[in-house]
Amino acid sequence: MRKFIFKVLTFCILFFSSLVVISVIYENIEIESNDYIKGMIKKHQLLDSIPSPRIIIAGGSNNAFGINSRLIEEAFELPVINLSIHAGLGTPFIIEEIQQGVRNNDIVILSLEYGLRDGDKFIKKVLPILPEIKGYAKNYFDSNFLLNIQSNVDHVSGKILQHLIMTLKNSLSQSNGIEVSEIYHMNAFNKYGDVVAHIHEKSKLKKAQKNDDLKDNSVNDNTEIENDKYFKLINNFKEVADSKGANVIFMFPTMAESYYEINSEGLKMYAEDIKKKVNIDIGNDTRSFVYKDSLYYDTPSHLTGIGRDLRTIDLIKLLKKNTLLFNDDNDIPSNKKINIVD
Amino acid sequence: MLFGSLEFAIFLPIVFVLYWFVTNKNLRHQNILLLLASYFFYGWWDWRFLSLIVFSTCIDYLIGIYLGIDLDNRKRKFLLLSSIAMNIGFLGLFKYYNFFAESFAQAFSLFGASFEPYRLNIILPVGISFYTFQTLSYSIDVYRKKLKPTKDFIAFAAFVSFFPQLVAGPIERAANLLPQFHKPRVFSYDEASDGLKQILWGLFKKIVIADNCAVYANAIFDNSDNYSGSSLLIGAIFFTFQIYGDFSGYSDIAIGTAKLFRFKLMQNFAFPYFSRDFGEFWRRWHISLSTWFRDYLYIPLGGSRGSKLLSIRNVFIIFIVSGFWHGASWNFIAWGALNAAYFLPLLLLKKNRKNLNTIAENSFFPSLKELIGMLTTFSLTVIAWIFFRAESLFEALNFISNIFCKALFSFPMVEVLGQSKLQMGVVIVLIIFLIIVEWIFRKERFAFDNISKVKPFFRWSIYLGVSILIFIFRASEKQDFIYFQF
Repeated sequence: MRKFIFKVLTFCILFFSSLVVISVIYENIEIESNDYIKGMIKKHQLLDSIPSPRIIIAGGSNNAFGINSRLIEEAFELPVINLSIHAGLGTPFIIEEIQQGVRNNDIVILSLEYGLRDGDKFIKKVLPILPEIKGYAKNYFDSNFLLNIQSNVDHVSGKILQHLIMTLKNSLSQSNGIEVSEIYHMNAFNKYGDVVAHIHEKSKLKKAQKNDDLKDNSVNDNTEIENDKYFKLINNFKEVADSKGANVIFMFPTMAESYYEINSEGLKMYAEDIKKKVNIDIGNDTRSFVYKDSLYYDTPSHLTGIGRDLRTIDLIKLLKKNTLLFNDDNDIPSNKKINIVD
Repeated sequence: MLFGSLEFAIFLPIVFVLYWFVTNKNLRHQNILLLLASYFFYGWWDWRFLSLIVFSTCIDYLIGIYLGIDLDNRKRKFLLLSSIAMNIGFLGLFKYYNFFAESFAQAFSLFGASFEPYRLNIILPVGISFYTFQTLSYSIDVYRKKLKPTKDFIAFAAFVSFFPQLVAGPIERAANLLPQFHKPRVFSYDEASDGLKQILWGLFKKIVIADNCAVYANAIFDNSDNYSGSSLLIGAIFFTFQIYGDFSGYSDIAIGTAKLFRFKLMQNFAFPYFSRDFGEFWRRWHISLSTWFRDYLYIPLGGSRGSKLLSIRNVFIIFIVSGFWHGASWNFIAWGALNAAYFLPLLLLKKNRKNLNTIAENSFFPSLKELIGMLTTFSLTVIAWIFFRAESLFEALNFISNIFCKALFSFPMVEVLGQSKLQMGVVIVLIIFLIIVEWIFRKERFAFDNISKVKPFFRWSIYLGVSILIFIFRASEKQDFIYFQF
C-alpha cells in the first residue's frame, strides 16, 4: 500500500510540475485569432469611449445579426452601441457586462435569447483567445470561484491547443491567425457592433421539424426555479440601472416563423413568467419580431440583411410608442426624441 | 456523478482511503462503506430514484431467499416470474410506456380510429437498464440453481448498486460479482496499479476521443440536410469513434475503479473495430450485454440448435431485443435488425465462429484478407451506427440516402461554430493515435495491460504523456456518457 501511495503521489507531483512548466512557457505566448467572439473588443471600446446618453443593445446573437443600429441612431439621434454577441456567454455574464458598462442617461434595450442559461462552459472556451473578457464583467469572474480555477486551467490547455493549431496552420498556408469562417469573424462587425458580414448572404435556414424544439435553449426544459434565478439577476440589474440613472426596456428576441410555431407553447409560458416576475418594462410580445423563415440566415434567430432592417424598423416603431423611455421627464434633450426617419 | 468530473476526482480518493485505511480487514464494514458510497454516487444525480434501486434490491433479495427454500416448481416459477415482472415492469414503465402508447395510437390511426395517447411525463432513471438486468441475472441464476441465494442483505445491496458499474455496466452476472462481496479483500499493488492504468486510458477515450468527436458528430447529425455526402460520411465516422470512446472508455474506468477496491469486473470491450466479421464484432462489443442475451434469451430460445428457420428467428429476436434495450424507438429496432442481417449469413454458412483468435496474431501487420475483412466490418458498422445516432428511423434513412446522393466524392466541408477546420484535423490525428495504441495492445485485455515489461522511465513517460494529452486535448464541453440514457 505504501509503495502504491508513494507512486501515485510521485506521479501527481510530476504531472502538476509538468503543467506548471507548460503554463510558464505558454503564459507569454499570444494567441492570434480572428474568432467572431473577439468582436467583443471593438464593442467594449465603443462602450468605454462613447459618452452618454446612448442606446445600448444587450443580449445574444439575435441582436448582433438582427439589428441595423444606423437606423436606430438616425431615428433617435442618439449614438447606438450593439453590445450583443453570443447567447452562449450566458445570462449572468451578459447582465453583469451591461451592469458594469451602463451610465447615467443611457437607454438599455435588453433582448435576451429565449432560454436563459449559464455560460460557464462557453466562457471557458473563449478565455484562451480572449483573456480580456475578464475585464468586461469583473464581478462575474470575481464571484465565481470555481470558474476562476477551472478557467485558469482551461486557459493554459486552450492556449496550448490554439497555439498548436496556429503553428500547424501557419506552416501549411503561411497565413496568420485562426480563421473560423468569413461570417463568424472578428471583422464581421460594423462601427456600431452589428454583424454585417452576412447581410448579402441568402438564407440557409431549413424549415423547423417536429424535433426542432428549443430544448437545447432550455425554453422548454428550464424549471421555474432555474428561471427564477435569472429573473432575479435581471431585476437586480434594473435596480443598478435605476441607481445609475439609466433606463431599461426588455424585449423578446426574434425567431423564425416555423420554429416559433413549434415552440409556441413553451414560449407562451416563458413570456407569462417574465411578465409576472421581471420588474422591467416589456416593450413587445413574443410575436413582434417573428418573420418568415426565408428572412433568416443560418439559425432561427439570425436574420438576413433584409430581415434585420425589417426587425429594426419594427423595433423603432415599438420604441417610439414607449412613453416611459422617451418622455419629457428624462434627460434626453427634446430635439432628440422620437425623430424617426422612416 | 460523472467519471472524469471534479466531483468524482474528490469522491474516489475519499472512498479509497476510507475503504483501505478505516474499514480495512472488516468485510462487513467494507461492504457497508461500498453500499453507502454507491448510494451517494447515484443520489448525486437524483436521490429520488434511489428508492427504486432500494425497492428492487429488497424484492429480489426476498425472492432469492424464498427461491433457496425447497419449494415446489410451481411456486418457484411464480417467484421467478414475480421478479421478472417487477424488473421488466419498472423498465417498461419508465422506458417503454410512451413508445408503446404512441405506437398503438399510430397503428389505430391506420384504421381510421385516431386518439391522443396518454403520455407519462417522467424522466428515465439513469442506469435502470443496467441494474435491472443485473438483478434479473441473480433471480434467474438462483432459480436455475446455478447460484446459492445470499442471506447477507448488505452484500446483496452492494452488489446491486456497486458504484463503478451501476449506471452503465458492465452488466455483471451475480455468479461472478456477488461472491466477491463475500470474500475478504486484501490490497494488491498490481491490481490497483492495473486499475489506474485502465482508468487513465478510459479517461483518454472518453474525454479526448468521444467528447471531441461529439462536437462534429452532433453538428453534422443535427444539420444533416446542409451537408454533402462526404461530410455526412465523416459525421458518421466521428460518431463511430464517439460511441466507442464513450462506452468503452466508461467501461475501462469502471473496471479500473473496481480493481482499486479489489473487485474483478468482466471485460466489456475487446478492441471491436479490429474485428474481421460480425461474429467477431459481437464477441468484442459490449460483451456483458451480448453474453447476457446469449445466456438468458438466445440459448433458452433454442439458440442455433434447431432448424435453420428457428435459428434465423432466434438471431433476429436477440438482435432486435438488444436494439430495443438501447432505446424505445424504431431506429434502435432497425439498428438491431440491421446487425442481425449482417450476422445471419455467417451463421447460416457456419462461419460465425471462424475468427476466434486475435487479428494478426503472429505478426504486427494484418494479412490482406484480414485487412479487407476488418475494413468491410468497420464500414458496415459505420452505416449501422447511423440508425443508432439518428433521432428517428426516417432521419436515419434520409441521412444514408443523402450520403450516397449528395456529392459523396466531394471534399468534405464541416463548419462548426467556434471550431476551426484544423481543429477537426487535430481530432482525426487523435483518433489515429487511439487506433495505433489499441492495435499495439490488441492481444491484451486493455491498452497498457502488461506494460510492465517496458522500462520504468519509458512507462512513466507514457503515463505522463497521455495525462498531458488529456489535459490539452480534452473537449471544451463535457458530454454525458451516451449509455447513461439507456
